[in-house]
Amino acid sequence: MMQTRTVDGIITLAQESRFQLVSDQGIAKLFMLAHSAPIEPQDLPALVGSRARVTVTYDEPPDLIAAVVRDIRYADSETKGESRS
Amino acid sequence: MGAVKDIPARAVPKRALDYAEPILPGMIPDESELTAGVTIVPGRSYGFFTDTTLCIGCKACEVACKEWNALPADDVGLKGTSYDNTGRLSANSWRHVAFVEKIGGDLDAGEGRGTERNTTTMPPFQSNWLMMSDVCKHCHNAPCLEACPTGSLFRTEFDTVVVQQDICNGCGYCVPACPFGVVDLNVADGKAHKCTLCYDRLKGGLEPACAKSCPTDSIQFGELPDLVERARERVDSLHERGATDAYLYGAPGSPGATGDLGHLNAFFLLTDRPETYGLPSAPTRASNRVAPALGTGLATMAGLTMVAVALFAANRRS
Repeated sequence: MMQTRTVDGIITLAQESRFQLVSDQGIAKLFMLAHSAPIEPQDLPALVGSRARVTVTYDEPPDLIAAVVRDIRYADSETKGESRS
Repeated sequence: MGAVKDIPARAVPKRALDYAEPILPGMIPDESELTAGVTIVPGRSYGFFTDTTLCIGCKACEVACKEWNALPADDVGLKGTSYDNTGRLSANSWRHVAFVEKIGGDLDAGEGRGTERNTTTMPPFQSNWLMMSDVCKHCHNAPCLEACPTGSLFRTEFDTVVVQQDICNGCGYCVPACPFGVVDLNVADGKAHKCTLCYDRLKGGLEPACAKSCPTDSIQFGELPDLVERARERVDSLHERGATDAYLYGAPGSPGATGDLGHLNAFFLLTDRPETYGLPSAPTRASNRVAPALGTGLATMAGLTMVAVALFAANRRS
């Protein structure tokens, strides 16, 4: 069973359904949207352009050096922290 | 590093000196003129010429592709069949450098040692390597594009074939339609992925990342007519130097450009059978098989119906 995690940060680049998020701690991580994610690839460029803080809920498949996004929302301004299980 | 062979020797340095500062104010306009010797203009046909005799298996192209396209590594680990750890083209690997080991001096071969086409004259326990950077061929008559029911796969203004991610519904029809096994579905997002020939870079006047990163110019990017001419000259040159097994695969009128595919916009110079590199010897369009398959199915149905009617009639008579 994969563990679901959450991270807050800013999306710095997007390619198709893949994007790089820099967390509040300055750690860059590669993500890809799951088919069940609430946004589509065409929504990502706007998030890159606006540099909005987002909260990403993800899991990490064992055979992939990237995280799969299950949920993504605008971050609560009060929320901080790299990972909450 | 791209090919600059056809550019007058003084033209490149002069233009390059315009951008000699370590920090540039912005993108270099038409940067591909400096790196590949070609101006990227919509409406023209672009592609890759991959000269496998120059490939050293450094995998810089794979890395550059993954970096530019933000593609993750997947299925990490040695395959057990080769020093290659990518294995094949996939939804997350749009370039794949194949490592083909040709064992030479087979101790059990006896008198036939070194005489077979697939062996070499190397001493025992030494080997030759064939290396080839495989990629989507961006076929002239692309079977994946023909199979796509949503119009997600389309031909760009640069004569390349690209999947539009916002339209792809993940039906997967393009996957078996591709005779080269290039297109793949990503299990995470459920959509088809493949090389875009760096569509976004072409629109910005940049050479594709893989060709730009190739340190030996094994991957050359350019306009298709120029590439074909350059490739034929290279084959002639190799033949003159004794490498008579060099030939083009996928160029107009050559092996690989078969089965109504027309030609391949990404074509190769090979020195062994296509199958040795994992390429089909005579790729075909899937749509060519629709009519025969449908005909066979209808004939089978008609035959079975006639047998059923005959049995039914015989039953009634008895």
